[in-house]
Amino acid sequence: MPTESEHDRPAARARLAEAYRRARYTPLVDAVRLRLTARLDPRKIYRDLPRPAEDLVRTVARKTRLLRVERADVARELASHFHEGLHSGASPEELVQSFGDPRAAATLIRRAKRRARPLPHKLVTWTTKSLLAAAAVVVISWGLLAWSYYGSSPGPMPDRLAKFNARAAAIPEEENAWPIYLEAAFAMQPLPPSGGEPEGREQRRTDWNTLQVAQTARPGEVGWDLAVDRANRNTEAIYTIHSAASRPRFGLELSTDIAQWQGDLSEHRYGERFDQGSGPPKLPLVEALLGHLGEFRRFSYDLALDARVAIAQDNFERATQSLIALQRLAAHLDQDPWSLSRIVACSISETGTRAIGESLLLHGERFTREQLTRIAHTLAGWDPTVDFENERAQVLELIDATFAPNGRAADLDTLDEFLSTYDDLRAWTPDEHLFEEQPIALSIARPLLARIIAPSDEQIDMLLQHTAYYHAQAARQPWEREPIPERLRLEDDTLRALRFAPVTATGDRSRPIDIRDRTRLHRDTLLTAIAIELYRRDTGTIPQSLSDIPTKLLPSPPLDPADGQLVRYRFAESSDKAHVKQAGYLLYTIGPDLKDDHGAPGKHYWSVRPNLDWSTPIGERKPPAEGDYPVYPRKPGTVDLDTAADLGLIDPVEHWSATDN
Amino acid sequence: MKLESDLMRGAGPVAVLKLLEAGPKYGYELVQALDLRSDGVLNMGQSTLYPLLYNLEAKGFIKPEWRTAETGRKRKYYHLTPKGEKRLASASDQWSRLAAAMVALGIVAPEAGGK
Repeated sequence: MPTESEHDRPAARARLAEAYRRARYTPLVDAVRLRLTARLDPRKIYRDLPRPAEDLVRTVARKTRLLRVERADVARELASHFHEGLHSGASPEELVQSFGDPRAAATLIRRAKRRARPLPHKLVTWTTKSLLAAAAVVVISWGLLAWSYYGSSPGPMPDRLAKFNARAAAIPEEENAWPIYLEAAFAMQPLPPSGGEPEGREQRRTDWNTLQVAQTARPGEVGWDLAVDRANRNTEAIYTIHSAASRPRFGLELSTDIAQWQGDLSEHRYGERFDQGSGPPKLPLVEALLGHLGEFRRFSYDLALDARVAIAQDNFERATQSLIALQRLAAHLDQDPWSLSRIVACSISETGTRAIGESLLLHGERFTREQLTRIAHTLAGWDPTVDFENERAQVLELIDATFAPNGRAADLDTLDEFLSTYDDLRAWTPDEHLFEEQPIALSIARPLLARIIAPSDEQIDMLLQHTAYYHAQAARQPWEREPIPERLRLEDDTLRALRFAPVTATGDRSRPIDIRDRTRLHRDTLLTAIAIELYRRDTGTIPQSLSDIPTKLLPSPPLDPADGQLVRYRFAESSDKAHVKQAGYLLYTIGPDLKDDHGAPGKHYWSVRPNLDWSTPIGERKPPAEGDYPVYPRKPGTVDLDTAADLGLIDPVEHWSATDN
Repeated sequence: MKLESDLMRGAGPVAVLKLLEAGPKYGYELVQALDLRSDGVLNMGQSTLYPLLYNLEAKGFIKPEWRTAETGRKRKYYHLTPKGEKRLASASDQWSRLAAAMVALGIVAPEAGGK
């Protein structure tokens, strides 16, 4: 016998089915009002309707393709119509016959019903359709751009590195300085300061730091023993550098792989070889390894150190030779067509002019006239070069490597690598790689970016105009230069900077010009200082003005790069610093503010700025640096105590606590 | 005789508005009334009438309302809106002038043209 609960079960099932039916056939608008009307239920709509009539109504309602609620409303009304007809005595067949074409009815009903929809509904529909259409346009456009971008690739590239190397290769062996420099590099003895013998990279770092300290040490100061020891150990190597420096040409051929000499030298010095290059280069000019620049830096420090030690040992001839070799070292590097090499050449020249200036200031009277004249002739014999041949070639190579023959960008990843290579030389781009941070998002953006970036012919045109402007400015005197024209200004506007990213990729082209100007100024004022020393020897006094110096001592006094007048010259005064008093006079430029501050240095003292931190573009030195730029005498340098502490030459605890206080 | 569809398209809506002027009517009632009062000339099938009604509704000339008849059946009644009344007045005027012009042209006999 069934239990009470078993009796209840079908009823519960029926209630559940009814609830489901109501929920299913209740339009949303009713449900929102918490009314389960089930007014869309077809059983309700077609109740008691004969089969032919129901079929017709169902067909018409379905063919209207309206919303569910609208369809139900139409069906309900048509069903009502048939009920009325049946009630008035017509047969179902007669009513179906008189209805007309259901397909045409459905079409007309659909049109009318859609027209009757409320405005918000229409707005939503139109908005949705517009968005879908816009999305379709975007997707199709992107597809076309992607097809164009991913379907194209750069064409073949000429070997520009080989072209540059051909110049070096053509230098006769007996004129070529590079093999002798290499001999000197192998002859140099690294000198760990104390304690155990570090190995590998650690030894390389220690060796470099030791050299940094030794090259700035003065007799009696921290690191002086190190300097003397290093100079004495490397006497032969220094003479080899002198010999290399006396050769007329510098003929190093560059490669994108670690050269044999670099590997051998590293193994010789530190017992460790460098890693080899990875695969064929994409951009040979950019990827060419400039390992010799580091060696030349070391040479320059060793020569400055050697000159100082030689003076201390009263060997002014050796000091003279080292000071001369310093300038020739710079002149050799200047023959290297790489812009970076030329910047380093200027930096080495600065090391040289500083060392010569200091020697002249502290021991000028102990050099013979002949030695000073030789130094002066060497200084005057080289003028640093500014041209943008290599940069032009690098950008042309980049265009070859990243643009398809149809002129459109086709390999943005290589462009990105190039930009990141020059990141620190450029003012406008973010620090990150364009594509490294958001690979997926930027994969999507690549085809679009490829269209934003100007085509190759525009790039080349802009490149030629850009470099021509800077070349023309480099040839003018600093005070005669013109601001960059609007059409060539690329860095100010992010979109323009992006469009011409390859052109600006190699950095601010005013930097090499500024660095050259500064090097030239220091050289010219040093020549003036030597002439003043010789004048003093001839007359027993220093000249009243620069025009008083005979042309045989100074063919033409230097001009102030700020305004084209003579570099400012005045006698030392009681308020001057000790080194100025020691020289007895001061040579200075009035600086970009064009105001003569009587040689008082301003906030941005030119001569103390690091070599690679001179980034103010031409014509835009805003705000003008206040004060003047004393150029001779310069305050003698001092040992970097942080490095000395790091090397254990001074008590680190004492040094750091003194620094903290 | 039935009208050609072009003529029906012009006359049908005015006829429906005119019938609704007398009071609300549902679809079947309108079909019957059109047939009866136009002597079959404006007899239109439901496939024409209902789209026509929905069009008039979309334009705001008529308004529907479901009501329950005495028989218990539900009917959708349409009644004229103020906008529909204006439309009817304007259309009636135009049709009168058209009929007069037809009479003047001899297309329509004077007795058939009304005035």
